[in-house]
Amino acid sequence: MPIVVPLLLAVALFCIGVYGVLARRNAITLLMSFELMLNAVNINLVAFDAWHVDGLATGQTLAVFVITIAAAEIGLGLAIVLLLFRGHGHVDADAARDLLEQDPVEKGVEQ
Amino acid sequence: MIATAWRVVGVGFSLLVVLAAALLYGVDPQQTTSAGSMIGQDFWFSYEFRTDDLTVLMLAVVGVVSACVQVYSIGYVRERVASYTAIVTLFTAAMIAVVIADNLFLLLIGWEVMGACSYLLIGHYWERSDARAGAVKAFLMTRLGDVGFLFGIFVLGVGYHTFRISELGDGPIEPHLLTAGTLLLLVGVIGKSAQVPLQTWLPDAMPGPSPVSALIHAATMVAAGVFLIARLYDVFVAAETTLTVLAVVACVTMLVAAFCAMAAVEVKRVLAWSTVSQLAIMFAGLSLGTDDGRHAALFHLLTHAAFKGLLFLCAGVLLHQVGSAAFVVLRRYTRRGALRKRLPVTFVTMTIGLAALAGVPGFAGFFSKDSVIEAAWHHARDGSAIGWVVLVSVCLTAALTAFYCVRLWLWVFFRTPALAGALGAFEDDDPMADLEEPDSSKLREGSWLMLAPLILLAIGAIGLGYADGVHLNWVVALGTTVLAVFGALPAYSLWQRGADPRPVFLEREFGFDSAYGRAFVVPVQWLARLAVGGDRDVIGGYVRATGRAGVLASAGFRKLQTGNVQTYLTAAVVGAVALAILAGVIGS
Repeated sequence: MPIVVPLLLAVALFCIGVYGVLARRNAITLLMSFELMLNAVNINLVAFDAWHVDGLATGQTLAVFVITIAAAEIGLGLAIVLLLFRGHGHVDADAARDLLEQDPVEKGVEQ
Repeated sequence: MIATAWRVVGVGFSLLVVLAAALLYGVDPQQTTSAGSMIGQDFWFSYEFRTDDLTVLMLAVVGVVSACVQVYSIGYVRERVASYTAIVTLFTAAMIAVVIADNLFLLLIGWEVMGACSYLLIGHYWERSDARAGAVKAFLMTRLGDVGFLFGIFVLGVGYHTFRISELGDGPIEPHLLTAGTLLLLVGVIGKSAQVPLQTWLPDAMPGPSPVSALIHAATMVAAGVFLIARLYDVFVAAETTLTVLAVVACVTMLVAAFCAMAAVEVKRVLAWSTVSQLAIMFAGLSLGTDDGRHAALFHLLTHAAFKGLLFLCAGVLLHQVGSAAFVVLRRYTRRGALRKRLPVTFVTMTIGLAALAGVPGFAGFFSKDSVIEAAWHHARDGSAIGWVVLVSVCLTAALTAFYCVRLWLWVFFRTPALAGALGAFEDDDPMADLEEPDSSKLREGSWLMLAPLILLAIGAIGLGYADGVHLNWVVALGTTVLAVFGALPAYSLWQRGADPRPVFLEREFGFDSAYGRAFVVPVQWLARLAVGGDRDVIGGYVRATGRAGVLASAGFRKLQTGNVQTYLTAAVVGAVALAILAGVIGS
């Protein structure tokens, strides 16, 4: 199988992920988009590992690490989303602005 | 505790100086030789000392006067004693350095330290604005002269190829270098000894403590100028132009200062002007260029140290016991006849001091002034114009001196029958006109610590006149006595009538201060305003503009910070893609 096929798949998955992160508001969709991007990278890692015929299989090892970290990250992310839903009754990322500076004050530097 | 330690150090140091003078008396002139260091290629700098007759004389004068002042100060100074005593001791030490130096730079060090000490001591009561102003004025004016002094040292040292005082005057020197060097030194001397045109700092130095005034006027600081010319007498005698300038300056100064003293209405100010006048008499003696003249000038320096120190210490007693030395305040006591009876020792010693100053026959000032006049007369007889000018000026000054001494003595100590208890001519500027009559029964004589120096100096003010061996020229003695009587009589008759006419130009002291104000102070203030404006409006403008630009820029940039993470991410992705495309374009 030519190397270009898994790379095209990875690019397609990564672009879908970027689109999701930039355009969607639903927090769960955002998390899913992160996962898409991570897994696009994983496909790259495994594909280059196979193409390179690496005896130590470093690409595959790194992919396993990424999967592990991603599992931890999604656990944390889902917990935050759950708390957000409990507290506010929605999971809209744009509407969660509790920590935003509310009333920006113009401060003078003179004197 | 510290104050006591310093007092012991101060008195002990002064006594050591007296002891040194006693031990060195009659010893042959000697110079130390010590290894020094090179200045440049040609000059050798070392800390050389010397002793000779002049050194011994000055050591004795400085030692005795500073011992008197230190003892007197124990009773006089109440606040900031430690620093005061330390500075007075340093002042004395600096004068000693000037006296024993055999190197022009070593002399300069002592000379400058004296300037700094006089600044600190005049400003001793720094909570008073007139003391602060007087200190700054004294510092600036003597500093102005010191610039000339420094360059005079350079010129003379280069001209003679040595900075050793004992070797100056030996070698050949180009005449224009000699004239320039001595004239520049003379500028320093004029500043230090308060001669015209740099005379105005000395009367304004009067807010300082009286013992300090006694020290400055009798032994240190102003006497240093006379000492310097006497020390470098061979050099100055060789420079005829300089001696002529010195004679003119001295003659103008002695008359101007004597006239100013006639109109002053404060005891210390009268005494300050009389110091300027008497110093000018010494300079006049030196400007004759003869050995007689130098001898007479140093004799006058010696007697003047005794009676002027005495007079300032007496004025200090008045200040300390009465609270003021202004004529008008003293007359509040005098009109009841209290001052003289309550302060008998001060009255008697001050009378002796004034008699010596006025040149009453038998007192020290009489002999020394006569010796100056006699030297001038000898010089004039040899056909010298300078001799004549000096002779006439000193004679006129003798009459004026008698006038202001008698005026001071009568107005301060004697009630005027014609006034029937009124304050008389001083009522105009009475700052306490509305206050209660002072209680003269509380007036007490000063402590014995203050009176003992008075008595010692009073003995000196009589006895020192005979120290030189009495060789009276009867014509001169008779002439000066008549002149003194001529000066004293108008003062007496004016006092008896209760009148004290003070012409405006004398009260303004010939307008020197206001002229200097217009010529120097106003332009300097203009420049200061210019500098402030440049700093505030030009340099400060740039600084403020920098700050304002930062504020404006941050106001613009903060609009980008929306708090929406997705916007940031979009910008980051767009940026990364743009960079990737750019890298691709450049790489291909």
